[in-house]
Amino acid sequence: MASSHVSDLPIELLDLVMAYLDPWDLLHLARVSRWFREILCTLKAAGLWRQSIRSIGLPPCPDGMTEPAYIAFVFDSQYCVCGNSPAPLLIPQLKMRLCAKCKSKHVQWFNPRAVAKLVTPSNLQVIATNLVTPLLRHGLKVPLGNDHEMNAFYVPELNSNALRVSSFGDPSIAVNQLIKAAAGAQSFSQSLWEWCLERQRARAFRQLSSLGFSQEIVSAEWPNSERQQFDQAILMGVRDWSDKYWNENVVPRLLPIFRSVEQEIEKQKHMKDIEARQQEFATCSAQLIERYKPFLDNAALRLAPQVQKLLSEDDYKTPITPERFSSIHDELVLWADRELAPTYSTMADSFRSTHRGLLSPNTSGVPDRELLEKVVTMFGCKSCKAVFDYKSHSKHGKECLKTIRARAVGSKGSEPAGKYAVTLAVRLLRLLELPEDSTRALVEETFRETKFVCLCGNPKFRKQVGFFELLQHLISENDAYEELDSKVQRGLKGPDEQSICCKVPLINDHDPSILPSLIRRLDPGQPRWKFETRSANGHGPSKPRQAYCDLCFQVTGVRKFLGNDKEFMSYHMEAKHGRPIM
Amino acid sequence: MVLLVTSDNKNFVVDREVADRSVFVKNTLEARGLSIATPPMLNGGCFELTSPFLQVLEYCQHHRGEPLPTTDDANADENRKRTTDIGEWDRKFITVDHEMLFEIILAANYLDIKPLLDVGCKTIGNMVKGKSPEEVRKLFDIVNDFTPEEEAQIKKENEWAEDP
Repeated sequence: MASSHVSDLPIELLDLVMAYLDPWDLLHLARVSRWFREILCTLKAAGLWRQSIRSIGLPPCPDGMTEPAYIAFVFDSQYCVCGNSPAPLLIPQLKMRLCAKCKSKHVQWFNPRAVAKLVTPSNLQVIATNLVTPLLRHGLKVPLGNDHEMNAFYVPELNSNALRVSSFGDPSIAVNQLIKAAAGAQSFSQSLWEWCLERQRARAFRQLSSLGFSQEIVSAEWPNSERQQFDQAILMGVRDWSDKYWNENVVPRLLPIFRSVEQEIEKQKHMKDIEARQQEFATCSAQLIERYKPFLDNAALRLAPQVQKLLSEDDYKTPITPERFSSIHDELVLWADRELAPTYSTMADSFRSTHRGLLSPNTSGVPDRELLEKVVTMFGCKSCKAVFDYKSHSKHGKECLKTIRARAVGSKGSEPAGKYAVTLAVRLLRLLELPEDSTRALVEETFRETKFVCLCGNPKFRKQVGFFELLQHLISENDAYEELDSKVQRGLKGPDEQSICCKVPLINDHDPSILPSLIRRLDPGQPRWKFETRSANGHGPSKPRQAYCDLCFQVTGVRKFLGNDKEFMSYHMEAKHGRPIM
Repeated sequence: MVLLVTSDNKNFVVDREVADRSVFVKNTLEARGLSIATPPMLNGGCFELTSPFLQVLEYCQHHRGEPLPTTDDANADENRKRTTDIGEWDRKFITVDHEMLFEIILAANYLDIKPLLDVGCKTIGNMVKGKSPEEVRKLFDIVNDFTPEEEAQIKKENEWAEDP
């Protein structure tokens, strides 16, 4: 039993084939020949149609229509009821397709809810007998709602459904039935329109995607105007579902809308990119500003335009790569090193020259009151602090201030400046004015935890020593001191064995950098050292008992403090200096 | 091995695994308690030509070892029928002239090879999809036996025809 023709296939196999077809394909197949029509347009085939309708998500066939008629109503615009022209206008409320002429001639729209509100016992009869068209004609203003609320009545010769309803007898039943029927029609109308809209929307996105538009358009936030234009355009496709009509009439209207949306998306993306890039460079700038903060107060002001300058047009158009970011960052660092560092260097030099006198007992440089106050607040005894609080006019205050100021510049008699906490503190603070964040942070931290001897003579502060530790921290931060230290060491172990105490630039030679290395010499280990600064009677300015090297002005004898005031162990610098105590 | 004899007396020796792709052959072998070497006779009058059977065997050979559709799969028929995608090999396999296509479908139906039947039906469905009545007529060489008046009336009415 060879088969060479589709009609030779058994019906059950043909059913299997048709199960893969869409409703409009079934409709077309039913119009191919009598044989197909006999297969498809019988009640036995209703299940096949329903399954096909379900498969595309189309609302179920409404009452009063056959499935083929329903499919023809939705997809086939070939014939208007007038029989003379195509019927592009789908009117779900009527379950009809009409030409524009028939629509304007025969269709009346009304809002069932509005009509229901108009119904009163007195006009019930009038409404029931005349109903829609006459109702409007007689000037009863019926407010129209939106599309889904409105219902349509087809009144070809004033003998249509509307008038048939009016002949039920009881006017209230007639009107209620009319309103009920209208509500049902509304529900179907709404679901059908939603289906049409959804299907056409998917079709539009599919079509325009094939034309090269990005998929982002689908999920993008559309402006309302574009959304409305889009919906209107795609609903044109409901007039004729054919690809030909779609390509010739709908797509040309969709293209400009899509271009507009795509431009908007690009614009938004561009703005986001710029924001992201600005954020990246803000972070970069912040890092650089932090790095160069000690250099210049206005480093931020100078960095910001430089960042902008380094960015090219392309950086704003395309996502910036990590390599590009790194490259810009490096350029920025180089620029900052080149432009900002010299400025700092100049500032530092200027500072040193301006404050040179402070570091030498032989010059007249005197620290200003503000600096002294800072020093005393940090290191001074209570009395000294009081000088700057409120008693600077008192006798004690004036004396303290004078002493402190004198010692700050190292001009207090023959006493070496380096031994006074105040003097050292002033110098330290000057050092601290200079950059190197880590040094500053470390020193400041140490200052907070360490109390120093106030050499104004206040006995309460005699035992509070921590200055060496502080300076050692500072030394570790500055390589320059290492060099000096090595010079000192070389001097100690120099070729001339008799050269006991090396001659290097010392404190008195107004180089603050020598301080640490000298102190390192004094304190090679980690014992708790203390200057013996107690005066004979325990009051007044201290009279240090130690002797000092006449070359280096350093302490040549200290005592190791064992925790008991009475137990001092003599310690001589002889071992290190190689000469006896003077 | 299994010897299959078509109604036009052509013999085909195939692996049992290949033969079992056909539910008909499988059930026949099992029901008659035949040893695997015994040739079943397919004398249902289905295959007058050897050619479609060769095609069917080629299909079974290619898909040997794949799981056979179970009754659970029948529940998924609703979804399966809507998917008209065909695998690459199957698409090439089924690209034959209409006559051969119908023969393959008939053979698959007779031998109860559901996957092959699906491929055949999907292929015809894909051929019909999106075509106008006139294009379908041209495709399958069908004569339009409607009069113009009937045709116009059908397009307007779309009502159920009375059952014969």
